[in-house]
Amino acid sequence: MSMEEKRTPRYSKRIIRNMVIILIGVAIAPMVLVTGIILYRFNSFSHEMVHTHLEGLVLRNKQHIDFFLNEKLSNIRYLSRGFESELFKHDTFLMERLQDLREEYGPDFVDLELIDGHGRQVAYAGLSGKGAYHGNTRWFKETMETRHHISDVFQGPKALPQCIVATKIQKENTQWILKAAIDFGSINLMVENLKAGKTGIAFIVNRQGEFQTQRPDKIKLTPQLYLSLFDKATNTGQINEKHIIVSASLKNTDWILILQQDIDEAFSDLNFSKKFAVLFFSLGSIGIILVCVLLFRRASKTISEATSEKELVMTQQFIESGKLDSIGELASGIAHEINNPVAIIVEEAGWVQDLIHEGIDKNDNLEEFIRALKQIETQGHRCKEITRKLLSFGRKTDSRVESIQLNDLIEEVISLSLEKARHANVKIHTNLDPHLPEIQASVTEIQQVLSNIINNGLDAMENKGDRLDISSKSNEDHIVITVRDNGPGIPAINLNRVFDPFFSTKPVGKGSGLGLSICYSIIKKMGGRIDFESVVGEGSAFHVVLPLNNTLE
Amino acid sequence: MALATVLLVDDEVPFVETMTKRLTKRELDIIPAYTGEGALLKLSEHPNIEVVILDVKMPGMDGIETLGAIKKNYPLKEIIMLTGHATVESAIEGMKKGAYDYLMKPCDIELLVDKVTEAAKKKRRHEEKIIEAQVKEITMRRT
Repeated sequence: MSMEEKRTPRYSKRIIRNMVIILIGVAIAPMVLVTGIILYRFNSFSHEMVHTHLEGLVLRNKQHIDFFLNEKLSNIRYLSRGFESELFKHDTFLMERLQDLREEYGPDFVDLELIDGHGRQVAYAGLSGKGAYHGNTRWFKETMETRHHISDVFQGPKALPQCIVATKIQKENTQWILKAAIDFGSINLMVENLKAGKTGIAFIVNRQGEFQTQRPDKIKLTPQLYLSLFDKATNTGQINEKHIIVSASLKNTDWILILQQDIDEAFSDLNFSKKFAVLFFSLGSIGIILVCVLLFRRASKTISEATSEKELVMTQQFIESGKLDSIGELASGIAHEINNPVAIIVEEAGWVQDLIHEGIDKNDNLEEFIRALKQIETQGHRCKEITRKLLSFGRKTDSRVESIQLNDLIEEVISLSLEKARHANVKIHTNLDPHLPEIQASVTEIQQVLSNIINNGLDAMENKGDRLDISSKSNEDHIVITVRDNGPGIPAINLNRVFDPFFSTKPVGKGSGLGLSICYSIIKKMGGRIDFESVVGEGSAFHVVLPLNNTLE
Repeated sequence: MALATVLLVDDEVPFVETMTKRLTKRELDIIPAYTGEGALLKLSEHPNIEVVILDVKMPGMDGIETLGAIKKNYPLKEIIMLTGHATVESAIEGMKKGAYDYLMKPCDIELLVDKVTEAAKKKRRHEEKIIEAQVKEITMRRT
């Protein structure tokens, strides 16, 4: 298991991702709200504007048409007021009146005709209507019934559209109808000119669905639709997915003026604004997302750098504290180790005093005296050896990087642990590669790592195990130092926690739980790694892998 | 007659040898042993051992384990623990497990002799009381 597997700081990425999502949400939500409200308001306003505009157009033209037709009807009615049957019976008289009407009110009067109560022509002034009988026509019947009438449009001579305005005259129990055909061309022209954009078309239709003006292309009017338009004086609304329609009923006729326009064109401004809003919203959102992502990337980078710096400082402090820890443990071991020879020296010195007290010349006291002195010397050398080892460890307390031969360092650390191994009944075996290249590293730190791992192995074998194998080997890129014990192994539940700071299975007060954690920090700093394998009941092996070309300075 | 019969247990051979000579000179009968296991063997061979001087830190069976084994098999034997500074806690643990006293190495020889003598006396008193109690019991049974 590699220590790198459990050290990926996923939490920071997760936090940053969540923060980006929240910030984007917070920034975009008001924009969505504002854009939505503006669009909604603009939509309502735009509909109102379009409808008002179209209604205005239709009503204005309706007034023109109403005025035109009413004027013609009024002209006829005015003429009928001076009705004298003897005069009106003469075609020449009617012709004179027709001429007068044309001169006074425009050239729209096509002819003028007097009809008796049975529909028979009495007199006629015009081009092609002489001798006509109207008793069966709808307009005749309507006029007889309602006194005044404006007929539907029909095709007159030369296929010109015409309509009839007629008024009933009641004179001395005799009924007459004065009728004029009106050229509808000017109304046609007016309606044709009633344009709204490119797709807006206008037309007049009667209750039967018959077109009173020129039938526009591609117009489909269902009876349900146009009949419903007759219900109200004016209508404005959408008739299907593609068209908007505005209608107005015409006065004195059973007609409606309809203006129809494509929705796309009618609301082109609105659609343009919608597209613009969507574009603005999209660009705004992209901008916000980009800014958020960039901002957090930068923040993340800064935090990451700051954390790395802090981590580096903390790592160094951690290692230093571990160094003190190691020195403390070492001092404790050395104190005990040195205490034994000191005790022997003290006892030998006491024995010498005993001998002197008894008399140096008695029995073989002199030989005993000399033996005691030699023993004191021997034990003194033993003390010296211990202090030498201690000094060799202690003098290298700085973290200066230098070329070191790891095998020498391994031997040195082993020599310091021999006493501990002896008491733990553990035999230490080494298998060191004699061609191990030198490595650039801090002696103190490597000593710290090896000492920690070896002492951990010895501690692990307190109750089970009696062999510690330490080996070194190298390849082109790495040096691997392996420390293998045949102790109880690491339980599966603890495998992921081996390098955690303050994790220790030793009794309280026996271990700080920092040892392997510090080893991890040191080796990581050197660009190496620590792998380990462990089988419960069989033992554990720690592999310290050090790169040969590390860039430590 | 010796002041007491003492088993001296320490893995440092020169220490045991010199102490043996010095304590012998102070009228103690010393039986040396160099391991915990060796101590138990000597105790079985020499039932007259009254006091055991026991080093705390020894390879293999250490002082505390040996103390446990002795107290289990020979509850009347008095034990004095010898310890370095680093193992004072172990010596105190020994006291809790029934050791008579402990001394720090290197120790004053006279102080050690005094402790041993006191321990031996305590042991003897203890034994005497047991014998008295046994005699009383036997007498009571007869009457």
